[in-house]
Amino acid sequence: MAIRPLNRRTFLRGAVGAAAATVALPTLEIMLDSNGLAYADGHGVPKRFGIFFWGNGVVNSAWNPSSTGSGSAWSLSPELAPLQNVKSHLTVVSGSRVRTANLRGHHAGVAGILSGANVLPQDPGDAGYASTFTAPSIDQIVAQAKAGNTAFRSLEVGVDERVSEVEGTTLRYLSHNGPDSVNPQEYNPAAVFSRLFGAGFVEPGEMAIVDPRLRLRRNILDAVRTDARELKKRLGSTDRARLDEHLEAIGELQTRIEQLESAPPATGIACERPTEPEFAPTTTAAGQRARSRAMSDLIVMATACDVTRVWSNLFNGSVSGTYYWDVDPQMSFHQLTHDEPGDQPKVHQCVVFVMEELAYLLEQLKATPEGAGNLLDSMVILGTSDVSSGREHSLFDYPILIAGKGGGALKGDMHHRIFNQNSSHSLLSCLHAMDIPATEFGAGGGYVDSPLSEILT
Amino acid sequence: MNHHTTIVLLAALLAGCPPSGGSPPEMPQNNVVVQPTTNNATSPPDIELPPFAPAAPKMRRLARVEYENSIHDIFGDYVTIGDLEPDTPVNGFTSIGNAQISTSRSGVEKYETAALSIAAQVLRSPARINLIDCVPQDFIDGPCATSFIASIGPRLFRRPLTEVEVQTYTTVAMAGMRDLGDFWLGLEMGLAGLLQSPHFLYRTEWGDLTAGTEKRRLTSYEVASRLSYFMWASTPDQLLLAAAADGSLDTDEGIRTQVERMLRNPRSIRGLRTMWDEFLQMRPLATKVKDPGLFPEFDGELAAAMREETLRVIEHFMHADADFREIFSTRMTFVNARLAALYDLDVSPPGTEWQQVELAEDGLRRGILGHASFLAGHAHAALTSPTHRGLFVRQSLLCLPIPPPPPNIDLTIEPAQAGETLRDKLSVHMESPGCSGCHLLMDPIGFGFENFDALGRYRTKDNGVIVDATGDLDGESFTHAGELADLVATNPSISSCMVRKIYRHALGHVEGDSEEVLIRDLENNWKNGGFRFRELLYALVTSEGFLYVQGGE
Repeated sequence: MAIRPLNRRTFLRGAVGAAAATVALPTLEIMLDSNGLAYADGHGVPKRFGIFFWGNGVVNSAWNPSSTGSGSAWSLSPELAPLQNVKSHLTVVSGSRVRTANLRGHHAGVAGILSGANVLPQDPGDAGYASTFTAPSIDQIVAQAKAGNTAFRSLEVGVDERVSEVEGTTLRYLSHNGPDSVNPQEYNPAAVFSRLFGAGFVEPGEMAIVDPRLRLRRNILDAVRTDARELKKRLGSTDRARLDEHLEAIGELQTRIEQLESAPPATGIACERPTEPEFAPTTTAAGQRARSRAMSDLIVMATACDVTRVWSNLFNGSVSGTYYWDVDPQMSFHQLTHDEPGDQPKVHQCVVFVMEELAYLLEQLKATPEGAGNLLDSMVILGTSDVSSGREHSLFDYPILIAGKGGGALKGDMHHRIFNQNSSHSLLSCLHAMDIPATEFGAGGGYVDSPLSEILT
Repeated sequence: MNHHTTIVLLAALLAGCPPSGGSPPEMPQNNVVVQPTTNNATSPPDIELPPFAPAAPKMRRLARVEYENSIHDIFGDYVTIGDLEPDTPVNGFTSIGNAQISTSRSGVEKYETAALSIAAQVLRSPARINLIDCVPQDFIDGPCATSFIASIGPRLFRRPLTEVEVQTYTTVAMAGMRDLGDFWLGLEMGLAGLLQSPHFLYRTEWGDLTAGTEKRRLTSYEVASRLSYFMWASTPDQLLLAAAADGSLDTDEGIRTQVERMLRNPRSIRGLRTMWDEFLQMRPLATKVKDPGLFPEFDGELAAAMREETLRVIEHFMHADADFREIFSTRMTFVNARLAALYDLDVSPPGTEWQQVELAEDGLRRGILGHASFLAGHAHAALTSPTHRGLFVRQSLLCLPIPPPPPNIDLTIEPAQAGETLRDKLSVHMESPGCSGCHLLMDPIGFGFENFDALGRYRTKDNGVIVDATGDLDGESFTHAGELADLVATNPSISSCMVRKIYRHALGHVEGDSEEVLIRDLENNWKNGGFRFRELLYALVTSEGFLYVQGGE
């Protein structure tokens, strides 16, 4: 393990960051072998799933591409224009409708699109509106099926931290395990770095010194579990379920610590420990971009090193106090959606800003080699929002894009329009693209039992 | 939905909100078909309330600040805590969210990291000699480890440990001593274990299992924890634990004695501030955005001063022998140099000092609704927001709900033309049948504050036009913010809403129907005693709602 047959760093320097001229890498068996044959399941490159989410919707007329079809038959709309370099890996599904109940602007759409189920209002009138999910968000459905033995079951990050904090979990967090059970996103890239690539991360080819405390840490957690058992007996059923979740998380942490005790080096030909990102405040457009790119770089390396196969990025929250500073420092994105008259050119610019940052992420994934292709080839990334038009809190003609080729399961380079059909079709399609044999997705109005065969290979 | 809410919402609906004409699509249907006897939202029809029964017990995760305060109060302020699971306020309060939301995977990771770090800091500090009453005889010393766990454990678990618990964590410590070859390093493992125990991270309140089936009184240690996390946002100190041990907390007099002591302790300021911050929605001030072109003076320091002013006025009236509702009408306030400049006052306290001042009698700035914390906190970056300001007064201070804007309607208002005020623009909402029902419940209150701009500075004109600050609060008209302040202070809903909010924060849930009668009692007693804040506190902490949980299970 001490000698590397090929210096990956040298090899990759030509590829990373040169989005326009992606180097087509041959399958370098020798490199894969040198890393202990990257993927132990024997099925080659694993599939990965991501969610890129922004609140407050789009300008429908600027979002929807003007023609449908594949390849040269369609071209990007003004709002999607920043994604030109990854058009080959893009599936735009327009026209569909979130068919769960529109019980409350923004809340309903978040839960409706991500879980296919109704939002759960927790609103005792004068106590202020609050809600949570009734069902898990799709990232957790995927994680349940596909996390494998990766170090982290899923990764949650956020870019602009000015999310709506006081209306329960729905607007505050993206990733849900179920009602009132969430996976909070991290806004500080340095904290994400330290969690993924800090103590315990071993670069391919490195030898690690195993910390003698690891075994003791597992031992502590054993004691905590024993201790909790007494407590559990006395709790009511709701609290017992909460404590069970806590104890399951402890169990997962113990498994992770146990892995660390054997200090396996990470795998993946493009895997190397990234440099620690600096904290970038999001009080300027440049700061927002810096944070977004730091998060994207971490997502790319987390994927390249296979430390997680499921991630989500809450770029800006629903409602929220996010400002796009260069667009309008006086009006928040949300306020613009309601107060800007006419065709809403400023709202459009906000969405373009978001798409530029999505483009950065997708281009980096595409520029990072893996197997015979690149990281984006293996991925299924759902890009969507909490409403269609923020102005009206509408749930029809919904903005949905699916990036990546799902390891060949998605055709890509396509605009598919399904007017007024259930948005859950796209989510079930994502599950199928991930090789998850689900036959249905969603509940109530959001229930579907068929994927979009047109976008799948 | 409880009685209170149903009645008030019903009244709101009958007052024309949402509008009868042109109901928008997908509007949630209200199932209430009760025939009301009045349409006055502030005096709901008198229906018979069910007899009191306490709420079911809940497991409450320590809020971030409660965790931090507990560690600092037990070990000292030198300990750095690091990142913890975020709090999620629900229905306005973290205490409610933390009684229902699960701890996440990453939260459990963070608790582990924090526990190991705290244990290392504490047991590698010279101050460790204060935590242990024995001298280790070897790198493995069972009795000394046991003694440490048995003495520090009760501080962390807020009650004496069982023998099994002492044994569990002593065993962990001894495994550490053996593997690491050092008494203190091993002890760290034991302490890190206590810090990750659900008995530390959660407060459980199941009461005395030997007493009562319908309802159970909390054990005296649970009472101590309820008191200390309510009053101090922290763990009970040694004296409070001693009071729990000797039975003092079994009587109302004993509780009152402790609460009087706790109020005198500066920790009560820290603790109750966590409540006022949420009650008055002051947390978002720290990240509030103001247009730098219009308000170059706005920065984090000024935002912090705005919050501080409001808290100081509240604390003044909490301790004064006065009607607490004066917080809304008083001309007395506290300013530092930054605020004095903002308010255009003739004083300039030096440096970081605060000065108590009496605002001019002919001025419109009165009470905490005249504070920049409210005026800037409930305004946009450049413009004011009569709607948001009115919404806060009506919904958050008076507990009168307002239905949300219906989905699928266009909420856009056209930009102001020359010679047009924001009030003129908002008249669209007041006239449009799709909006007026609800906006009539908010905007006429918010118009009262139009003499204050989006930063809270006094102004006489908006967009070059003289401000019209007339409006009405629940049918009582006013001509400006000064009159509105008096109307708010004397509105019957203000005191009942305050009781409700404090009850929710203290108990970590929104009151159920069976608690309504107790809320009304607390409110009436408070009124009869002249609205002295401390009397409300004493009544609350000795009430059955505070001291009992539902039996069964």
